[in-house]
Amino acid sequence: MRHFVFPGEMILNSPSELNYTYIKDDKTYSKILGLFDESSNSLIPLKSIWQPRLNDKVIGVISSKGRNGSYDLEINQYIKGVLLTDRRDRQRYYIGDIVEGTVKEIERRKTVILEKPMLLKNGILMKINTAKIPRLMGKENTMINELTDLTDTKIAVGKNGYVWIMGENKNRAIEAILRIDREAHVPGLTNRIKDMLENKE
Amino acid sequence: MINLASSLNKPELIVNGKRIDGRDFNELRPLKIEAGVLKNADGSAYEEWGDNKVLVAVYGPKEAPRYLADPNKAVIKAKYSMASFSGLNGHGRSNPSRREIEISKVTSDVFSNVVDLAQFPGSEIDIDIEILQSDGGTRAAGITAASVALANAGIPMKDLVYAVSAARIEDKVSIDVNMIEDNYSDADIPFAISPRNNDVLLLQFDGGVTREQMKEAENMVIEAGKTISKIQKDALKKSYEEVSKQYEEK
Amino acid sequence: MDAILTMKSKYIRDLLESGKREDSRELYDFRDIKIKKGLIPHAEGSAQVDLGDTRVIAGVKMVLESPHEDTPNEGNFILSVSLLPMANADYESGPPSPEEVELSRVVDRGIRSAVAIDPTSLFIEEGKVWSVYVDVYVLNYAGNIFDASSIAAMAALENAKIPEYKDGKANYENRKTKLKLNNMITSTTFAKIGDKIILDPNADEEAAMDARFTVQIDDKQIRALQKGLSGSFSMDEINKLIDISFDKHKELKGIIEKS
Repeated sequence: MRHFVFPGEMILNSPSELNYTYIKDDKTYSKILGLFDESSNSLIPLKSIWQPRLNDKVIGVISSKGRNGSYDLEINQYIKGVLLTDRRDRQRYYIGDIVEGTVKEIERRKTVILEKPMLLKNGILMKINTAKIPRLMGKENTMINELTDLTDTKIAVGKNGYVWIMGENKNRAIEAILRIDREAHVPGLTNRIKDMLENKE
Repeated sequence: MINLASSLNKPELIVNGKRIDGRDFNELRPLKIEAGVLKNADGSAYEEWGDNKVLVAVYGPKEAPRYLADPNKAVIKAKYSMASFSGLNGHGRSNPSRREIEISKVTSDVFSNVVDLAQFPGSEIDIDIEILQSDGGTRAAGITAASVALANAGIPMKDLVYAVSAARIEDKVSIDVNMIEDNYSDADIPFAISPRNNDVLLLQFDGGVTREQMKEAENMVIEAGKTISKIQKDALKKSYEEVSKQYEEK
Repeated sequence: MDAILTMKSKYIRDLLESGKREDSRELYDFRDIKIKKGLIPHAEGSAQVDLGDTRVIAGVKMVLESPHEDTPNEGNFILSVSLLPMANADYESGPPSPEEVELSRVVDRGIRSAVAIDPTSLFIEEGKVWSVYVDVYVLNYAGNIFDASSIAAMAALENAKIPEYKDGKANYENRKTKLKLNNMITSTTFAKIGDKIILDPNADEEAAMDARFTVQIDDKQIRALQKGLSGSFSMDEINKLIDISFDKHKELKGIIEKS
């Protein structure tokens, strides 16, 4: 069973280090608006703000060129991305390029150092709330695989909420992603998205 | 200015044991809140409380300007302002008044207590509170709506704060005064409360009350808070429930 | 600077854990209060207050003005508190900060809500009333300027004499009648540091405090309250601090009246 929880609501009578919670007097409280799944003891946020972690895949837009082959990347309202490129990497980037990178280092929760860049060309960028990213990926990437297969698009998903889509049918994919964003909390989502894309309703 | 002339035309605030608008002393005005009403904002809420109409937008966390930034935590910047047409009489000024500056500060203090600031060092979280129509108790109304807007933005917080004013009307302690009661009552005591442990996050007052009346006011606030909290939570889950409902019906 | 402040705050917190204060005061003791009245003869009333090392000066000026339209028989009362740049290395000139606005308004509200001055007593004749300006300047900041300012304002009002009104003008050379005060309020400000609460915080204690609570009372009633900063108080703590304020009231009132 899932039920709504609110900031300040006690969700467990014992201390437990769950995401989006805090512990006070040996009890666990929610910090956010979310759904608590009693069977798995997990708290699913309905909206969240990205907290960078090592190895997170992130998508951003090159905003300026730094020193020693580094670039500044716009990835979030306040977290700065710095993209490091390998000397052997002949790829050059220009302001406005959309790039995917992997978080290598986090400095004071405010700057993330990114490596392993990949230029994302000819697609478009959209943004969804980061709380919906796990749903967009699906269990073992089932949802995103389904989505790319059925729409014949390429999709890259950044943990920071940016989603890049390329292909003829990108509008169908966007439609599906917006629906995932809207209905992420309603069970049976995978089937609904599948129906939607297969039936071309 | 000391203004006592107003007391000369003071209306009867208590008639047949009821308040001027027919309420009981511990009765709240109708309160409605809707979450997520503004497209651009990261979180938002619209509230009608009695004849108060309040809109709140939350932006952030976003990068704080250097003069404001704290390298260890986020900074809350609440801005309370009254629309120039919000009052029944006359046209409001456009510059922030000293009253608005003070309310903005104490409101920032309230949310600095509950928001998980350490998670967003160097950032700023803006809470813009616009009183579109005022009918007494606007600072409490602003805080109650701002809580909903913050939760709607997904900003992590220790608690969902509510605020409400208690008052002394003649010798009766009352809750949630309207504009007329506010103008003529003997004390208006706004509280902001963290309901998890009933800690007081805002308390401002001037007028005159005894210690016993103060305690009565505190109890009335906690009691009223149960109703307010429920309305806040209903507002937060409503838009999600509506999506769910579409499928339950099918 | 920040590093030194952080270190000091930790020291203050550790001390309080064992119930002690930096200047070895009890938790609910005021520092020494010294009041000098009448040291600005040009002003209708004045008072300088030393609260420990905090020093403020208050002056009262009475000016002939026309009454407000809606209160033709009443004079005006205008109080403000200013933090002078000389009072602290961190203070700067310019428009008042939100902290300064809060301070001014809290001190003003206490005196105003206690109706310390009867506005009808400021009426002279049709179209002419006295406006009473009380300006408090903080000269040296060493914590708790709320109480220091309130004490100084009350003491300056206590000290004030009304100029003679002659031929439609104020004769400042000749002040005779004492300004009539109907009520006396006292202000007590508490700081919460961790879960400990103290009265009359000094500068180091204020740097460490999480929350502030100001209680302004007269003989019978609570007249104004202000909780400040991001920390919180429980209802029980609030009720206890109000009780302590009533305990302190007589002593403080005596100091203001007698000095």
